Amino acid sequence: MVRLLVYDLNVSYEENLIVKDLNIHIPDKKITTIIGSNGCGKSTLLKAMTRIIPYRAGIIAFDGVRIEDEDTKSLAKKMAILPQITENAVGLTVGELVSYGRHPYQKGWGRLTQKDSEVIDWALEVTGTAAYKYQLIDTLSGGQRQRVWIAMSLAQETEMIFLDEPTTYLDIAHQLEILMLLQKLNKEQERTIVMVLHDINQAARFADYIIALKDGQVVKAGSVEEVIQREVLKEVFQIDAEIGRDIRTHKPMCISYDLLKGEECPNEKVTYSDTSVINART
Amino acid sequence: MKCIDKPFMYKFILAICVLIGIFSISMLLGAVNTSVRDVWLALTSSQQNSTITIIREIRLPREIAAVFVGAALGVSGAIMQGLTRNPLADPGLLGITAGANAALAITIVLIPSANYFVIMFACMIGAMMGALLVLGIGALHKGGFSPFRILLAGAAVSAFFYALAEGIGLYFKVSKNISMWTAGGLIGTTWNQLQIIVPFILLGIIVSICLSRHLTILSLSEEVAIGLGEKINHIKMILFSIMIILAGTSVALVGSLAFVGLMIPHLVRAIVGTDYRKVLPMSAILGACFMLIANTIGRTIQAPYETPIAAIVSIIGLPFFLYIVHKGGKRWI
Repeated sequence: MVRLLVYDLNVSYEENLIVKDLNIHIPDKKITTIIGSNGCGKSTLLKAMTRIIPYRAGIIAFDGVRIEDEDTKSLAKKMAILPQITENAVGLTVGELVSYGRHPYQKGWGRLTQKDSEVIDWALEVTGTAAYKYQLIDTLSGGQRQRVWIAMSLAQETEMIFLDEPTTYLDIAHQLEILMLLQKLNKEQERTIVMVLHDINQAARFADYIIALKDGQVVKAGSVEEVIQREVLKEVFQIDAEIGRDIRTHKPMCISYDLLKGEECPNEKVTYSDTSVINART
Repeated sequence: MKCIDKPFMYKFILAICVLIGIFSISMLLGAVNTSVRDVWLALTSSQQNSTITIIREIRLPREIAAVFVGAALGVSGAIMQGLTRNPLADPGLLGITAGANAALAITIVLIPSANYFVIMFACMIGAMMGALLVLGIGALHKGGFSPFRILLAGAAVSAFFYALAEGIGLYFKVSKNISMWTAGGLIGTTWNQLQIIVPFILLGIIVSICLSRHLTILSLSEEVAIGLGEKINHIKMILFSIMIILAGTSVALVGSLAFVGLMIPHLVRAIVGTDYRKVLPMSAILGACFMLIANTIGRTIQAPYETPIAAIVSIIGLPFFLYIVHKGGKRWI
């Protein structure tokens, strides 16, 4: 079953066309990962699908209704979005921030109902952040903060959760922790998860469905087996990859890779929004 | 967790007690010696004598004006800082008061017989012009909403509007009238003026507190706000209008006062955190306290002469401003 459909999508940033005639669908109750090199439009696609940025042409339909025609508040009860982490939650306690996940359900000044409080406590519990409820966000580590933000989107009680590079700035253990948390939410509660990831092997390990983008167009979309292939990676990242199997998960993985001969660092085309990512990865 | 948590309730109640305390003390102090009994009689009875009349007709309206103007400036500063995500935002620093000031000058020239109501509206329109110019200049440049760019635009626009007001004053020989409004502070505030202005300020503060959770979300990031189902342009417009009403009415009542809107929200955040559901009500109370104190100092420091309240506010405000630039600015930018 498919609830979110993207048809002939064009998104531009100022004069530049970032996403071009793109067609994809997001499988329901699965983990979908969008991969691609810097500046390929993966974050832009995520933002367009969640109505954060407008699109120039095409159709994005959720449950058969164009997202721009739907009331933004009722859409917020169906899809949650976690942008790349902002540093502006300074001075809020964990409990306060997570309580804002109930925003779409609230009226007036925002007094929490019994139901709201229960959902908030549940979200804190699931993400393992209940112990910090009365602490300021500023006092937490990067991994803890990320889990708090995830708790906020869980408090939104949506069937779909979109995440833009949820593992950026985290060390490898915390990266795994976040991805396993998302996997658990997907398995146990059937939440549809859509995320942008940088790491091919993480995408291969956790995704059910992978969308590989290049220059704002889909190179290949399909199961892990279909997408994590030498030819696809060559096209998407301009790398010569050696594909093997993870000895524990038995998922495909890129064991070793080289730049394609004769190509001079094709990935150097860096866009404004992606520079931070590069810094974080080096 | 309830939204009004207990620690906040205690802090808020304490702040209200402090406000009542300061209000009572400031009623007692002034150029004319008054006793507690006089004040009590002035407030509760209809007796007449000169002391009681002074309290009832001169001191009381001034103190009430101080309370409302302080609250309005505190809240409008907090809204502005939240909306622009700029720790240095203040109606006085972002062209709003200067715009209101210029509108005041123009009104005095064009409609010499303008009543208080007209002047108040002129101030609001001027405030809006100032703010739109500053934010417009900021928006011209890609990525232009950086705190310091906005501040520079604010300084330039303010200089322009002050020059305009001065020029009009000199050319049409109405400088004296204008400075009576702008430098006079709370001197000569009448019950009539209060009757017109207080409802606007009250309404503005109440509506803004009702919308405070929207402001918190906007202050986090626009992407988060949209994701949570916020109609961001819609809510920005409403909050912006409230801010203009609050700042405009304040100028109509006391003239230009920089720094109050900057300082108060920062003090408040140190006490209650950054959730605007707590910041806005607390800013109203602390803003009122601060203005009462400044006003009382202005009246008493060299009684029977008045020290302009703007001078007192600036003397306290400038070091604070530098402190924010030095310390608080960093983590926001």
